[in-house]
Amino acid sequence: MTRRTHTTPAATGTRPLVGRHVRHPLHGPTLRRVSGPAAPPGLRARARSSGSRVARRVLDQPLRRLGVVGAVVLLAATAAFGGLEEQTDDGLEVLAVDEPVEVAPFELTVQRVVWTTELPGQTLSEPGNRWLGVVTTVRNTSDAGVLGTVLREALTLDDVPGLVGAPGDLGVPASAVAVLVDGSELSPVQPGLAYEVAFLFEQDGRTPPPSSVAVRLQRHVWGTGSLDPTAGWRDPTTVLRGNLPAREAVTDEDAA
Amino acid sequence: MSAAEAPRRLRARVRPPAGRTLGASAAVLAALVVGHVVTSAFPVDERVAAPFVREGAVGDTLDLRYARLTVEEPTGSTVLAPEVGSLLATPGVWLVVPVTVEAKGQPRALAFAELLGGDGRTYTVFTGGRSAFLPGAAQPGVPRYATLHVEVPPEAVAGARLRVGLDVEDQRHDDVAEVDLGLTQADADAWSAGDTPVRAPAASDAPPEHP
Repeated sequence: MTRRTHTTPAATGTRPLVGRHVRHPLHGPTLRRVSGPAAPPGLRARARSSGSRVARRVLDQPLRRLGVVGAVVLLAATAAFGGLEEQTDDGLEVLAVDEPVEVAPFELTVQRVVWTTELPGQTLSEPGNRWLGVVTTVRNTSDAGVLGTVLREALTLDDVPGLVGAPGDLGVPASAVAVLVDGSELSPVQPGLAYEVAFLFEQDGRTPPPSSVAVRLQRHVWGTGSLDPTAGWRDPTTVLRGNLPAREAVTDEDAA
Repeated sequence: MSAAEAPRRLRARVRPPAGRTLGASAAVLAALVVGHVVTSAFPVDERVAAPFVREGAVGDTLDLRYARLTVEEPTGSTVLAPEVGSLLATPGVWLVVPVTVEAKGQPRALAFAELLGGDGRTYTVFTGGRSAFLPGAAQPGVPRYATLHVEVPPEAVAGARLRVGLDVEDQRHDDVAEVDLGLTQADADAWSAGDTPVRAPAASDAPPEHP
């Protein structure tokens, strides 16, 4: 029985010229990198001894080619999860006052932005701070009640200096969402009812009150999480943003 | 190499025919496809996990796995007077429902409730907030008197049914009481026109005082 002999690095025990600078006999030194087989010599030797042509040819491929093939396979696999779907969200719409907007599961109508240092039923974390209130009409447009945690994610502030709350990816969430008529926290938000509320944000009193604030509105989608099978309103995404004027709140006595 | 090792090595190097390998791979793939079809073609998960609904009417005592539950006559208004805090107003109507809980076997703190409105929508009742049910721990053999309050639009009142259960997060595979509150459009009209505060006393082991 004859045995084929190979003069590959695996057979000779030499390392492939991967990444080395090589000298061409005619052109002298060059910086071209020579790409050799990606697999270690031991693994390639085992593939040869197994007799599998497929394994041998795969393991003989250079790393660059394996990387290209792997990337193509990975991109093709994303098609199964919507990778080839057309991207329709091409930017944020502009938020304006007194215009109802649908941000599931709510319809929000932002009316005005005001600031005040006193608010019955609400306590500032530091004396001298102030409340920024985004006065809004809230309707739950779904067919079931929604807890206030989802509502707080639906409207946030952006680029306002001195806010006490910690900013997240979607801006700074409200400290509270208070029903105007009685000052109670709005939760749950029941369907079929229109609530007049104020999204309340606490601002450091050493920072001057803003003349305008950037308001972001987020919509949610109904579904389950990758780890939590409970269905709920998830994945808030900003769909509107607008710079709205802010002014000091006018009390009933001032108005009179 | 000994004489006994040689045949063993030869046997180890014998590769199955390509047709057999392909056939085995196809069989594995086919088994995966059949398994997926079997588990997804028959949507029985929701039915298997559904709660055991015990239906009744106002005044009935429902025998649940964990408690005996009695729902009394609801009252309503546009203004609620909770035990703690200021008066609460609603753009709809408040429903206040007395609920008596008698735990079975061990102390139980019922936490789940929701109102199935006559308009087909579901109204959340949480353990805190504006629409709440917080009866606290009921001891076995000792009736616990609680109230539940929920705000709804007037069109949800007529035909409303109340659901009460043990776990606020998960009602699967367990008993849930569903009580027809016996409400009509006349109740909705009367309550949405009234602003006399309706009381929602805190839960207690002592029976409520009736005026």
